[in-house]
Amino acid sequence: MEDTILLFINGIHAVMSFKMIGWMLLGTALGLLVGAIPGFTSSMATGLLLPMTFGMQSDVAMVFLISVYIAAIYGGSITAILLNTPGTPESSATSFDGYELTQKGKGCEAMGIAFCASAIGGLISYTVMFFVMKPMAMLALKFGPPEMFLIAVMGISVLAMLTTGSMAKTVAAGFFGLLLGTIGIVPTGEWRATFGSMFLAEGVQVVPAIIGFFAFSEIFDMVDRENVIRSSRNIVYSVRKIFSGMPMALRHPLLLLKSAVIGIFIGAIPAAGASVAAFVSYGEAKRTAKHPEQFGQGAVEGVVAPESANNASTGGALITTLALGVPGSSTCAVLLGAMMIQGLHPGPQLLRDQLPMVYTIIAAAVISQLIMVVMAVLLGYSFTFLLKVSTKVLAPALIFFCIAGAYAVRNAAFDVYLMFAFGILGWFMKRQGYSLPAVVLGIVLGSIADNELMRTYALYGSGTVTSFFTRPLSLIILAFMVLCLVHKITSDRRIRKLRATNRTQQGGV
Amino acid sequence: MFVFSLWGRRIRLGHPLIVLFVILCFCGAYYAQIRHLSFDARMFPTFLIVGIAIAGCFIVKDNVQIESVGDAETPAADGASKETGNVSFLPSGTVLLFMLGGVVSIVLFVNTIAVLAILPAAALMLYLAGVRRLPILIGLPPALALFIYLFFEKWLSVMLPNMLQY
Repeated sequence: MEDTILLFINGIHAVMSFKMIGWMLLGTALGLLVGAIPGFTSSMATGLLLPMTFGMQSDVAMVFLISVYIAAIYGGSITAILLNTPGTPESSATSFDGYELTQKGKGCEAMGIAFCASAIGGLISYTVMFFVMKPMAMLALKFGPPEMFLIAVMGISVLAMLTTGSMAKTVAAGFFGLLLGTIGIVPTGEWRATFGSMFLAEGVQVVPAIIGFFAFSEIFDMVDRENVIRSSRNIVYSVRKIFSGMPMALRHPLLLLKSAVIGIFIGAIPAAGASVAAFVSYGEAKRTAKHPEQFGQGAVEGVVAPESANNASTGGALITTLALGVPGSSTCAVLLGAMMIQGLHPGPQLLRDQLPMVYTIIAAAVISQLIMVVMAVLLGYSFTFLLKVSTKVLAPALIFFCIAGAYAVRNAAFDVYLMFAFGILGWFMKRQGYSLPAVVLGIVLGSIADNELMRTYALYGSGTVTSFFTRPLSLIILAFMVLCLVHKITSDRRIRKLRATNRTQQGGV
Repeated sequence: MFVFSLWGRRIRLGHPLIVLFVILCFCGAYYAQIRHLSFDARMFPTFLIVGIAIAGCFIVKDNVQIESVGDAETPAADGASKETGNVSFLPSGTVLLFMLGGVVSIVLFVNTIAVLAILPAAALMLYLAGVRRLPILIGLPPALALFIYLFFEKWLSVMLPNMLQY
């Protein structure tokens, strides 16, 4: 234990130089900016800035990329809250309540809540990483194909069970998204539902789907009104208001801790990703809230939970990446590549031979959280001017950013057309009460669920179904899903009783 | 809500059925593509298509009302007007024009030099969105084109379309 603390202190010492702080500031600024652009994921941000690190020393390069990784997720929440166009998939759940707060004139406070929750979630995550890196990595390895399949399906089922709207529509939307996510070349080598298009061989790309369903449908909605905010009140935006939102997040310490734990565990599972962590955390927060009906209407907890989870998941993902050499997320896959370019070998060998480097990375991540808050406040404040711009001017500008973002994925015009098609479909779905987050989450998880189900079938054959009930971890996940279903049924009954009582009372009056 | 009469009955169909119809058409096309594939490749998508069909049954149940012509009129399930062929689900004029502007801008954007395409495309979309102030119509497109060029191509080294055809 003393050795660990000494290593951490040495890591802090290594990071506290003008050169390192300078690169952290630059990485943070670039990550925030790129993450705020709809469609630019944290993996794209890290990938785009990776060439900048080729001439750097390995510790400087890793500190820079970690800063970009964490900052991109922060940046995504700014546009999610202000414009309902999540900059990154990880921030999709934040827009549910964050945007509603903006509509109520509390966009600055919402950003303050998000930044504080992210910082706390990240700090908890890296503290956990500091103490339990090895045991957590071993636990993550116990997640086999059945558990990975259930994790993927759990995201959709939790959304469906916790929706206040029609469960049938959410299930249909989620399954539709999963179906879209299964398009492409199958592990068996077959081409599945590519409709003769070479571009669909790689599957439906997540970025055009996110931009289309979230950003485009929101842009179409925007055009019909004068400003982003529907209310005509004169709202004042200030840095002070953003800072005033931060204590609001601190009033939910248990929620912060619970969401961070969810984020760490889900982030540690290879390929699960921060998006799943954010949605599961949001669903869990709603399930256990005193007033779940306030979720989706601007509930503070609705911003705290996903933001704490999505930043905490970065620590979880780094645990499996550094300790096992298995990327915990797509961005960690980029970081893995960066480490190899720098001559580092992630995995048990890294923990054995390069432990000081590992603790330098952890120290950089911890200090980044603090730098992030300040820079995010400044960037968030500068973005609030967008709320004062007429939507007639904002919408065309946003469209061009969206086009550039969709095109940047594979330099393919097909993705741009796909984004537009999703945008029109998403706009109609939104107007008719279907859940767009369910569709997007389905697209993200479709290929994961499909691959893991195939692997489960390959392992267990006709015993595939029973395998979900005989493995302890699978049982835990299934129990959680059943818990959510029971909660849905009982809360629906309670709401129906309340409505019946209200109608009787009104009839009596 | 759509209302029509058939065999002496008044049938009301809710707007959510339109999206359901689109999704089911996609499922049909998807299944037509995969029906010759191996069991492994069909397993999960078949489960999903069946799931969508089951969820669809519940959506139909919530959005279809059948009543005899002689019955008193019941309120519309989705709160929309009871009049036949109401157009509340159609895009408003501005949005429809804007969508057309979006199509034109995307075609221009990906089929020519991107930065130059932004100039006419942005002006067109601003005009279709209802902007009439000349300084904005003339000034914003070049500013936007310059910003996108500097930010994406120069700083982030992200490729923008350049005389590409698809």
